[in-house]
Amino acid sequence: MDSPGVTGFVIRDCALWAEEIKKWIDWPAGTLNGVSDFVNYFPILLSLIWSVSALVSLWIEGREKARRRRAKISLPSYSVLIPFYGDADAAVRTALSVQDISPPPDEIVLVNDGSPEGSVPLDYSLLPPGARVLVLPRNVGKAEALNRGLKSIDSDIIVCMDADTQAQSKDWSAMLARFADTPDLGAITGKIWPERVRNLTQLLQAIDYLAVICMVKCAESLWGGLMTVSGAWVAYRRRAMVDCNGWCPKTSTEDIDLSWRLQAAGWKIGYDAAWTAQVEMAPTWRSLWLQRRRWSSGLGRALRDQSGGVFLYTSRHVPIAFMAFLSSLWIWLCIITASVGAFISWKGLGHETMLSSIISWQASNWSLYGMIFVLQIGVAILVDRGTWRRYPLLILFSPLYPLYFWLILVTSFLAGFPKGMLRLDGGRWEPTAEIE
Amino acid sequence: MNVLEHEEVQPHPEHPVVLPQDTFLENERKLEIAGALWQIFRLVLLAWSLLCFYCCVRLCLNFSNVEFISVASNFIIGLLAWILACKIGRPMEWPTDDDINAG
Repeated sequence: MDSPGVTGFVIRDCALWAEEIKKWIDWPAGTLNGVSDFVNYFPILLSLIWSVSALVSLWIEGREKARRRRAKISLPSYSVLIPFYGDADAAVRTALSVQDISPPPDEIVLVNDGSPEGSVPLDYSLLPPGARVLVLPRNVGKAEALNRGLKSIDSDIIVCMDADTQAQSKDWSAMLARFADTPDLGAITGKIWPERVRNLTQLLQAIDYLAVICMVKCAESLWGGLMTVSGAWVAYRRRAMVDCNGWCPKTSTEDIDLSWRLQAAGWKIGYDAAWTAQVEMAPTWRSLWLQRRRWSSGLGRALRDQSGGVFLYTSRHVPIAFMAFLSSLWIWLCIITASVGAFISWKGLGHETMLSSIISWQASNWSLYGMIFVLQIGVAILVDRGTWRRYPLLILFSPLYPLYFWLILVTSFLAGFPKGMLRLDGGRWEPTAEIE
Repeated sequence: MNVLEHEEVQPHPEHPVVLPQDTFLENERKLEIAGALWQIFRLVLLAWSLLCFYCCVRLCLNFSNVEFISVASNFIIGLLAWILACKIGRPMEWPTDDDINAG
């Protein structure tokens, strides 16, 4: 391409950007149209950015992994930390799932977070050899229980697992090599995959984990950080934990809070799609909704309490915070524009016309969203590269995902996010599946 | 809660406690301001990148007359801005903790 041509395109692009910005600041009609465009186009943009980033990240990580294998790095020491409250049997199952890991851990530490009277007692004879149990006299919450465990462990790396998580990967050397290879890597979170899919609730969660949660983590790791590690399956560098004063007991989602603090302090957070664990999915709609409300509350709390950290010179998570802010804004604008549109139609046109106008608005966008989402699932399967026999089932049920999104994710966000922003989330973690 | 408050955890030898001095505080303040400006610059790059991608989608959805060259140039500029914003996470010239302590 010759030089005048390039200049011409740059000038045309500049004119295009200027035209768009001019339209947006032309209050009120231009601005409202801009809001409408943002509501319509942001999911498409986000999906495309996630998909492209995930593919590039997969390629880069594959090359890095091969390089680390060739380098024959000496691995750091590690221990496994499993806090539990009440469900001792599940904690024992989790401990047993890590007993034959290669290389073996220094120790497996279970923290009994003051389990209530009447709960099933821990059967010490079932624990793997070398396992140690810390019994806290009263319930202090997951974050504080983890802090107590952290104090009692001297290993370089601490792998934290929830009591309902089962390690699936049996060779952890690649994950540990990454810590040894990258001195400023503070944490690695692995891929979480549903243990069993027994009903529609769990099937839709499986779609969510495959096409959104796992793929987004893969994409975000390319942007230099993660929105959050998965508290149920994560390895931390002990030095990073001490540097950040451990887990904060004042938030109900200690993993989101810690992720933002680690990244603000300059520690990297990575995602390892090959380091996998199985987790029990929320069994009912109610428990799922409560779990997602807690996550949304954690996001609200992180945006409120940790936003300042984004502007520190050490901060690594500017793109993550930027996208988290835009995603939250998008949901609120969706609700506001839909409500205002419905109100105006109802006042001006009557009930029947209002209903038909909303349906036609949704239908015109949903066909496009549907196509993009199917493309995203295709990329997610490519990134996942597993041999899970339920992939066809997931694709078959993916048209139900919008319902799941609006009825569960959006409503739980609307209930949870303000709680976190207003610091009404209480700060005590509770096992969601048991709130029935 | 500070985990260091508990007697079992000792301060790490690589993070010694350094008494604040005037020069140290002044440098720290300059660093904070420069850091905030730097991160704002990254945010501007990200916003610009999204604007380019948005223009791409808008141009693509104009089914009757898709301008492929404009789509491609917007996509490339958007991608470059995005990569730049992500990759310049920590400027190379930032002083290390050791430099600050020495200062």
